[in-house]
Amino acid sequence: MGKEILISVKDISKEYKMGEVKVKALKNATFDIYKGEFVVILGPSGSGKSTLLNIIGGMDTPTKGKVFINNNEITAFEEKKLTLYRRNEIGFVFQFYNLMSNLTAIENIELATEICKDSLNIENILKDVGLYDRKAHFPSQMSGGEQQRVAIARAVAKNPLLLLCDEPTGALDYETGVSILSLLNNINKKYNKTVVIITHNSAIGNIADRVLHMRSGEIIDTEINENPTDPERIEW
Amino acid sequence: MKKLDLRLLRMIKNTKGQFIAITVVVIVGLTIYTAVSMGAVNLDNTVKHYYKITNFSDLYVQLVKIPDNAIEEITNIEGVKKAEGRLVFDVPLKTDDDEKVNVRIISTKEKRDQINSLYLEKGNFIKNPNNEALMINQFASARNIKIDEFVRPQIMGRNYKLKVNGIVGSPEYVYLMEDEQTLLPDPEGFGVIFVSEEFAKQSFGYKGSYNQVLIKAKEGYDIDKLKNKLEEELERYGVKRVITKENQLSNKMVSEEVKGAKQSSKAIPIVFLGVAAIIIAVMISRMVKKDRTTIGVLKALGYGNKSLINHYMKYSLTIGLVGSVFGIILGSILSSYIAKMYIMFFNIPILKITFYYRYMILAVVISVIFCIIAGLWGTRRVLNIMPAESMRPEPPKTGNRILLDRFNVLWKKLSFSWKMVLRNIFRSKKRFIFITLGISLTFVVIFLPFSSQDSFNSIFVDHYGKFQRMDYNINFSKPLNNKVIKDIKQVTNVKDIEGKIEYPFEVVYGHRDKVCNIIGLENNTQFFNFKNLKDENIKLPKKGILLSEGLAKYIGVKKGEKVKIENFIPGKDDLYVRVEGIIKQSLGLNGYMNIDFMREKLLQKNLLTGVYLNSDGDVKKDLDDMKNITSVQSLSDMRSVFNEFLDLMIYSIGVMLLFGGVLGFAIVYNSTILGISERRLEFSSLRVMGFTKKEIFIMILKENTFMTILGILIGIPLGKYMIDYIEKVFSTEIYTLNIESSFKTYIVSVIVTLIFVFLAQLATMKKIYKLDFIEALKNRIT
Repeated sequence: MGKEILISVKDISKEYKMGEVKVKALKNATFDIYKGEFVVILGPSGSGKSTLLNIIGGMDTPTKGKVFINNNEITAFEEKKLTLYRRNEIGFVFQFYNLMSNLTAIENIELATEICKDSLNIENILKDVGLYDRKAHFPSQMSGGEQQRVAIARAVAKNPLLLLCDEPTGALDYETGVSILSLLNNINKKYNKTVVIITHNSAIGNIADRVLHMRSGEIIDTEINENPTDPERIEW
Repeated sequence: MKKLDLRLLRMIKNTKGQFIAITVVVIVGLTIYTAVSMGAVNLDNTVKHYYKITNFSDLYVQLVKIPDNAIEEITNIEGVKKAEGRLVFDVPLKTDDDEKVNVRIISTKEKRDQINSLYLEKGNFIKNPNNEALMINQFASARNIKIDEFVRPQIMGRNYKLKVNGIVGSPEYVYLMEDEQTLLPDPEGFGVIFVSEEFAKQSFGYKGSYNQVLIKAKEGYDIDKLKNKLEEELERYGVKRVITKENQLSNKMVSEEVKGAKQSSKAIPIVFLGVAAIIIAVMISRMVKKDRTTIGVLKALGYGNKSLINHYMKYSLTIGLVGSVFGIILGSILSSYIAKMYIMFFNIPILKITFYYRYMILAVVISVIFCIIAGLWGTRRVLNIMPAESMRPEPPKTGNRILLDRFNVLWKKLSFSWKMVLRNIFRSKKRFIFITLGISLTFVVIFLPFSSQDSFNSIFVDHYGKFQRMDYNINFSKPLNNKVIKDIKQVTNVKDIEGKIEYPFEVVYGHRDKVCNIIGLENNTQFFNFKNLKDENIKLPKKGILLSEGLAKYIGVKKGEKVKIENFIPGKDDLYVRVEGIIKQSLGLNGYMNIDFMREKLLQKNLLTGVYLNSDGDVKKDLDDMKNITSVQSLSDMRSVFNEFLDLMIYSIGVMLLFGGVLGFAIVYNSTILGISERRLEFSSLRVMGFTKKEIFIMILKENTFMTILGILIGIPLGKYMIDYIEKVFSTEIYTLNIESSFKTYIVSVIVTLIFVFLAQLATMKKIYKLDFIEALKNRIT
C-alpha cells in the first residue's frame, strides 16, 4: 500500500529544567509516522517518550529541530495556532485519565467536542466504548477502566488526525488494560485513525504495526510487525 | 450551557461556604454604599427643596431695635434682595404638668412668600392674631400638644394663654437645638412658637420695631461680604450678631450630617470591597494552582488562555454580580430606614425617598471593577502553565529555615508541635500577612464603634460633671441685679449658689473671629474645673480671659497673646484682653472671665444673667413662679437626653459589629479552607503517621490563634491611630472630641474579635473531619 506520511519528526532535541536539575530529555530524534498507522513507542521511564509525544501533540516545544504534520511545521506555530491545532487535530489519552471530576461522562466528552470544528456523534462513540448506559455518571462513580474509556471517547469524538496515548494502561489491571488496547485497536481500524501509544510495557509492542524503541532520549531501534498480534492475545 | 460553565457552576456549589462568605462581604460593602449614598443624597435634596419652598433666609441680623421704616432702607444696600423684620424672644412656658421649659417666640407675617415661611403640617394658620399660635412639630409631638389645646407662655412677667391653631415645620429648625452649647436636640426641653406680629409687638412692647432682620441676598452675591456691610450699616440699631446661612445652627448640623454620610458612603465600601477583592484574588490564584493539571488537560483539549482566564474570571464576576444584586436590594430597603432615622433626627415635613438608579448602577460597576481586578490578579498564573509540564508533578518546594530557627535558644525550647505550627505559618508569608492584617482590620472595625460610644460618653461626662459641676444652670430672661440671689435663696433650698454673666461677644484675633458666649464667673468658682491642655488645674485669672481649646484653635490664638472682644451692646467699647490660658472643654466654644472684670470692662455693675446652684430640693418647681427666669437646666435632664441618644446609638453599634464580624469571619474561614485544601496531602501524611483528626485541627487552631493574637496586637495601635484621625476629622467647632478609649473597650473589642474568629474556625472543623486521607493520597482525578 502507498504509505502517506502524516508526521515527520526531524532531528528534535529537548532540554528542560526541573527544579534545580537540567534534564536532557530528547537527543536528535528523527522518524516518520504514516497515516492510519498503529505505532507504539517503547522505552523505560525517563527515556524521553512522553516528551516526544507532548511535542508531537503541540503541548510542548522542542529546544531544537522541527516537526511536520501533513507538511505543516507545527514547531513554527505560535501559541494561538498551537491551541487550534490541539483543538482540531489531536486527541490525547493520559495515564491518569484526567477527566473533570465535576462533569459527567457525556459532559466530559462534550467539553472537548463543543469547541472543535468537526466532531463525531457522541452517542455512537459512547456505544463504541461500551459506556452508553453510564453516560450520566461522574468519574468518581466509575472504575479506572471505565474512566479511561471515557477519556478515549473524549479523544476520538473530536475526530482528530491523530490519537496520542500516554501509558493508557499504566494505571489499570491486566484485563482492563487489554480491553482498552482492543478498543484503541478497533478505533484504529474502524475510523482509520492514526494511533500512537507510548508505554514501557514491551508486550504491548506486539499489537503495533511498528515499534520505536527509545532509551535516554534517543530512538535506538525501529521494528516493523508484519503481523501484529490481536490485543486479546497478548500477555504480561 | 457550555460545559466549562457547568464545571464552574458545580465548582461554586462545592465551595459554597467560601463563595457565600465572600459574597456576604461584597453585599455588606454595597449595601452600605447604596443605602448611605442614597440616604445622604435624599437628605441633601430634600433639605434643599425644603429651603427653596420655604424661602430659607441667607442672613440673620440680631439687633437691639430697628424701626419698621428702616427695614425698607435695608433693601437699598447692595446685594440685598429682600429684608423682613421679626421679633424673636426666648421665654418660659408652663406646661400642663407644671414644668417650666424654654420656648422661643417668633413673630410671623404668615405670607406665603415670607422669608423662612412656615410649612403647615396640621391645622390652620392663625386666624385670631391675639390668642392663637402655631407650634413647631417636634416640640408638639414630644410634649404631646394637640391642635386647639392651649399653651401658656410667660412674657415680660405676664402669663398669656394661646390656642395652638396649627402644627408647623420651619426651615430654621430642621435640627431643633436651642443654641451652640447643646450637644443634642431635646425637643421636650426646647420648643418654638410662632405668633402674629401684632401679638408679639404688643406683648413684648416693641411697637413699630423689630429685633431681628431676615435677609435674602441677591443671587450669587458674596454673603460674607454682605455680612460685613450689614454690620457696618446697621450699627446704629445695635447690631448684636449677624449669622450667615452657612453658620445657622440647624443648617450647619444638617450639612455636617450630609457631609459625613457622603464620606462614609465612600470609605466603608472600599474597605469591604478591598477585602473581598483580596480574598477573591487569593482564592482564585489557589484554585488555579490546585487546578494546574486540569488547566493543562484543558489546554491539551484545545482550550486557549483566553477561555481559561474567562472561566476563572466568571467565578469572580459571579460573586460581584450576586453581591451587587443583593447589595442593591438590601441597600435600597435600608435607605428608606435611613431616611426614617433622619426623620427622627431632623424635622423635615417633606422627606421624600427617591431611589437613585445612578447609585445602583455605580454599585454594580464598582463591584465588577473590583472583581475583574481581583480575578485578573488571581488568574495570571494560567498563562504560565504549559500543558506538558502541568502533567508532571511539581518539583518540591525548597525548604528553608525560618528566621526563628536562628534564635537557637528560643527555638530549642519550643515543643515539636509549636515548631511545626510556626514553620507552617512562615512558610507561606503572603497568607500569613493576609490573615494577620485581616484580623487587625476586623479588630479595628469592631473597636471603632465601641470607642465612638466611649467618645460620646466622655464628651458628656467630661462636660457635665467634671468640667461643669453645678446641679442647676439657671438663665434669666434679662440681666438682673445681684439681689436676685437672695430671692432665689428664699424660695428654694440652696446649698451653694453663684451668680454668672453669660453674654455673646465676638472674639477677634487677626482675621479670624467667632461669636460665642463669654461667661463671667466668681473669683474662686466651685462650679467650674478648669484644666489646661497639659491636664493641670488652673484658676480663673482676675484679669484677662481663658479660652476653650476649640475657640483658641478656631481663631488661631495662643496663650499670652491678646484678643479683641467686640461688644454688641450699643455704646460700649471693644476690649483688648490677654489670653491667660487655654482650657479643655469638650463641648461648645466659650471664653471665661472674672465676673467683676467683665462687668467693669464690658457691661455694668452688679448685673447677673443667671446663676449656678447646687441643691437637694425640687428647684424647678420652687422657681416656677419666679419672674424673669427662662430656663432651669438640670444635670439630670441632660443625662436623660444623653441616654436616649445612647439607645439610638446601640443600633448602629450593633450593625457595625455585625459588619466587622462578617469581615473577620470571611477572612479566617476562607483562608483556613484554602489552607486545608492546599495541604490535603500533608494532612493525609500526618494521618497515616498516626495523628488524629483532633490533633490536626488543633494544629490549625494553633496556627490561626497565633496569627489572631498577632493581628489583634497590630490592630490595637492601628485602632488608636484611626481614633486619632477621627478625632481630627470629626471634631467640629461645636464639640471637640477627646477620645480616651477605656481599657474595657479594648478588652470587649478583643473578646468580640476572638468570638468571630472562633466561629469561623468552628465552621472549618467539618472540612478537616471529612478529609479522607487515603483518597487524598492516591486520588489523582482532577
